[in-house]
Amino acid sequence: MSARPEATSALARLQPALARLPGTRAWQQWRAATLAQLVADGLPTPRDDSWKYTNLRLLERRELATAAPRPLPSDVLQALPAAQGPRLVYVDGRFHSALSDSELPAGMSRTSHATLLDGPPPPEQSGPVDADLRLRSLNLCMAVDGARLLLAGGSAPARPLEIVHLHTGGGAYPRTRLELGAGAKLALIEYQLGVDPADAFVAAVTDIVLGPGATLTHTTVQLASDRAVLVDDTHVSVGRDARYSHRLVALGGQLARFDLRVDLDGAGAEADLRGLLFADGTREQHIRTLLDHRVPHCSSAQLYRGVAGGRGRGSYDGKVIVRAGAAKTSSRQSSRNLLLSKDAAIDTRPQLEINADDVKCAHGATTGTLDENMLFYLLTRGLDRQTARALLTYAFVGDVLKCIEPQALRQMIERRALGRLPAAETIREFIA
Amino acid sequence: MSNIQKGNSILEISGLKVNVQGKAILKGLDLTVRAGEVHAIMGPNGAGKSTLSQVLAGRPDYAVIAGHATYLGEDLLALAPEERARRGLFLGFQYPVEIPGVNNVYLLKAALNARRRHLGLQEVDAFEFLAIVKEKMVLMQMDESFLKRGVNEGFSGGEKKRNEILQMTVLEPTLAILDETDSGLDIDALKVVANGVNSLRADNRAIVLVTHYQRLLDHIVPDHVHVLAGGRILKSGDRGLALELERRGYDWVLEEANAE
Amino acid sequence: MSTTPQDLEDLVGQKYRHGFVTDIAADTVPPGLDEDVIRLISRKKGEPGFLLDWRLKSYRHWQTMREPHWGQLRYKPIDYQAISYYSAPKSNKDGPKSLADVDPKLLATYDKLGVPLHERARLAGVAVDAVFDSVSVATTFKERLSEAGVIFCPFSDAVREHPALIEQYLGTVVPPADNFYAALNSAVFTDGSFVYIPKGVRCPMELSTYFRINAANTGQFERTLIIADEGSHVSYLEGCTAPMRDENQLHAAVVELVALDNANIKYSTVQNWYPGDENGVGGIYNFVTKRGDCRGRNSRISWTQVETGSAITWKYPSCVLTGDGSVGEFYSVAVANHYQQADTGTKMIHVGRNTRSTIVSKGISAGHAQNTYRGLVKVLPSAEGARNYTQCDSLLMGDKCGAHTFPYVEVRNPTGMVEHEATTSRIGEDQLFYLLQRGLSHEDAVNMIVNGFCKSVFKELPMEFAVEAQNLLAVSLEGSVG
Repeated sequence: MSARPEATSALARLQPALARLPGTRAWQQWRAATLAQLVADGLPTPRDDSWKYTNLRLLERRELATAAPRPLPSDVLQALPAAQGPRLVYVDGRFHSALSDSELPAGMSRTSHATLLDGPPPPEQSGPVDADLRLRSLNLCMAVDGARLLLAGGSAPARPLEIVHLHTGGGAYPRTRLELGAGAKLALIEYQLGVDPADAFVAAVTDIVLGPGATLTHTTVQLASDRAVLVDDTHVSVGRDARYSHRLVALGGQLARFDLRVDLDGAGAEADLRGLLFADGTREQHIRTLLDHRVPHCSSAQLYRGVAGGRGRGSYDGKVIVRAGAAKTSSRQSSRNLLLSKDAAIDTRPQLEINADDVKCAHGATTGTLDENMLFYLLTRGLDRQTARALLTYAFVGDVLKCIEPQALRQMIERRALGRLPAAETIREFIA
Repeated sequence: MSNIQKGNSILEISGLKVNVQGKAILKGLDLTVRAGEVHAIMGPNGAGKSTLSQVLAGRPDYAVIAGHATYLGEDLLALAPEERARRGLFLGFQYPVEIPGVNNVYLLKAALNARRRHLGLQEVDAFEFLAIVKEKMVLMQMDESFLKRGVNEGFSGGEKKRNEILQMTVLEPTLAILDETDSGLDIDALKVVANGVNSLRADNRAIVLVTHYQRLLDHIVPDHVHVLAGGRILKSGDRGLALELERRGYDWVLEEANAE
Repeated sequence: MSTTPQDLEDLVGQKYRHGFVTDIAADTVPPGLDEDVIRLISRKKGEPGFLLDWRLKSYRHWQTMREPHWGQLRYKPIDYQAISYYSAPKSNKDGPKSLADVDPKLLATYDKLGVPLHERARLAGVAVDAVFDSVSVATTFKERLSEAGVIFCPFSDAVREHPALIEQYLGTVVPPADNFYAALNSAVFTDGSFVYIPKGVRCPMELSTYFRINAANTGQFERTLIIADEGSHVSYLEGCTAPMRDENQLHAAVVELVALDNANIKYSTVQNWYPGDENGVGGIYNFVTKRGDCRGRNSRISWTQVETGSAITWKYPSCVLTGDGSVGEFYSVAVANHYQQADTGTKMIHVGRNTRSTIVSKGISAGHAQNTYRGLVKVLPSAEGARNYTQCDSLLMGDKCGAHTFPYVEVRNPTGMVEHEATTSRIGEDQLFYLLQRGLSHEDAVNMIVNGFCKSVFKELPMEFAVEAQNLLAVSLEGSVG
């Protein structure tokens, strides 16, 4: 591929920043080589199949280097509901001890990504990097901190763990690794929160490994500021009889993309993914999922709802792969999308790649306007048109919102989502 | 509503012609319904029975191409669906739509208050409303879990029909049009539904039952029976007509009409 | 539907019924492609200058293009210089004049294929254009059709007899630069069918073209153009077969349909090119571009395809719904057994207001085959009130095959509604058990279920061909039932 000057320039401008990053000499060399390769490859573009619907040219004029720490407003966490459990706060990818709780859930231990920078770097990449891996590669190049968490087998803390990622402007490279031992059980709530006016670029990477029989309920609430560009790449390995649930609520950002790859690696593994993408104004919200059924007897369910208004754009690109031999696979995928204005646009690509015969796989996708029959029913009961429309719009996203736990979090999200709808006040009490 | 007297005209339809997706379904229909009356409109499948119900409720994609419908002295066809509802016209749907995520009971409260606002009455608050709806739920033999569910969400066919009648008993309409309310009901459920409907029979109200079978009329005895076929009312009579239709089918009515 | 139990050996014997070779003297140009070959083809066909220029321009563009590889397909590189681009029976030298003049060997060939060319034979209600390698060898019922004003003739004849229509419409739906194979076809196409239905005419009979590849080492590059003028109706069907050979042969056709105001085109395909043997040796590479333009208001184009043959199928019969209120339909059964690979689907491009489209795709994979549905539904900002419904089902028979579904849905107008549903599964154990309990053999039970699975597509086929399609399905799945 030829170089892409528009994207390359922003990456090339990162070069001087490398010298300021901590780590051994070997790491410094690794970073220089990796960035050089990235500059040569460029950022992914819509010409790369998996980036067909996301265009990062917005980054051309952005500063991708991480800014020096600066004082934060005292009420910086006010936008969030009260902490549901121990909270770890990272500011532009760096741990912020004053805002964080020192205590961790019982059975959990934490180290920092920073400790890895004293050891050997990963092997050097030779040749071009696959488009899907470039932002991961950029993250590893720039990350200086990040939680490495281990929940010991059998532990089941009663309260959720919260990780808050604050962006203050410039580049942020949050990096999280979470491992659950056999039978461990955890609720993880992650916030992506912008501190206005943040012209931020966030490239987050999360790696999760679930041991046999482990259960993780992972909720990601994306409240980036209106000018932020956020790309989040999460990769989960689900072990035997383990269960991974993900809830995504994407409300913020100028352009936000969530890449979620889930490997069902052990028999009996389950994944349940739900997400709400809200693209109003000139916002872009993209989700890409890859569900890889690698072994028999696994099941997966996906349920995504997209709403685009104003000049907003959204996309759902979901792929389910069933590998040869992965018999007794069950997989469901649903993507429904609502366009609220004439300049809004949503693209969907629900893909199935099936290489085993003893499977039950289905997907459904719809894009369009509100259901005429539902609207008529509400009108015949005397509701006015505006209320009926608002009500149906809210009900449309209800499938995702209703399963968000705990209640305080759900209520906060409902408030925020409702606030973006026309006639919000009139429908508050209708919600089932 | 209270000033409507038995025998006052509630609905007058004349020469109504309706097209659905370019196809003529109603071809000049006349019907008069007065306060205190129960009418049954019967007819073979595809006669236009459901079209009539939907048009009276204001379904937007059904095109009225000729005729009039006057409801309580007003031009019914000029009103939006929600305006018709607030003036006391209630349609019990043949296939009530499921609306997941919209709470059943809140919808009903909003519907009741929309009607009360129109009548110049004070809106009911949540406590008053709950008292009303619980009383009606006893009548309709519905359990309280219903209160928490989405509109018709995951309801069986019979539950949906009961829910329609429950809404009707709460809203106390002036004109209730019940489209095939008996279809898909077992005999016990049919009795419950009939009880609900009968509880609303009153001198200041009219009920139009649209049905394919006679059996509902064993439980809700109509004052007038009409045969709707080929987009027109071909024959009208009393209860005896329904029994005759049960015995002889619809063909003889069609033949009679053709002979004229 | 036939559910007569048959001996396995019988079935194996009739695996590919059309695999014979007709021994006939042919005029075949040596393999290779350059501008001289294109000039030779054009000269042999006595074409007007504009068409030669068009071919050469296409060829030059083709040379700048790269073979597409986004399909879910694997095959060895195609050597475009090893293919002969023109082969015609010698006896057909000046083209067929009447059926009486057609070489008896050719008539016998079509008899054997089940497409008798005598006008009073089995297909009495169907007009047939028979294309043998690079040329049309016979067209039936021409007179009866011309009485109705319908033009149905070999493409080469149309070029000479109706050059104005050709110049007006050729390449307006599939431009030469559209894709690699369309460009190649535009440069080297040899024959095909041309149909023009005048204003207000309902074509009095089914039209059909039967494509036969016979000669070795040749490719077939036909071009079909159907124009339905205002208010006209036509139903057209194509069938295709080829001998069994160990080498792969290339077939790269282009089909263009134009429907003007209130016109209605129904285009059906029963594609049974030689699929290769059970080890994946030989078979046709079928790279085809088919597109219809619903140019007029309230026009309708309906594609129905039953794809059982070819080693590789790469085709996406599409509709551009330009006219307000126009309708596009795509009904497809694609069967892939042994080592066959099919990557097929459709595009529905909604441009006009209140345009509607329906897609029903049934994919069946068996053996080591790979079967992919790939589709695009695009609603442009101008397409107020557009509607699409897509149903895409895949059936897997055996654990070595694959079934893939890649739909793209792109909506740019909020008043429309696009719905896509897909399922992938194997034959239901309970269905199978039910039929076995009623005394059916395993083979017949499977056939019955598979036919039921495909029913919503078969019912769209003209009656004459629905039965043939069902039988073809049974034969294609031969040996796939464990």
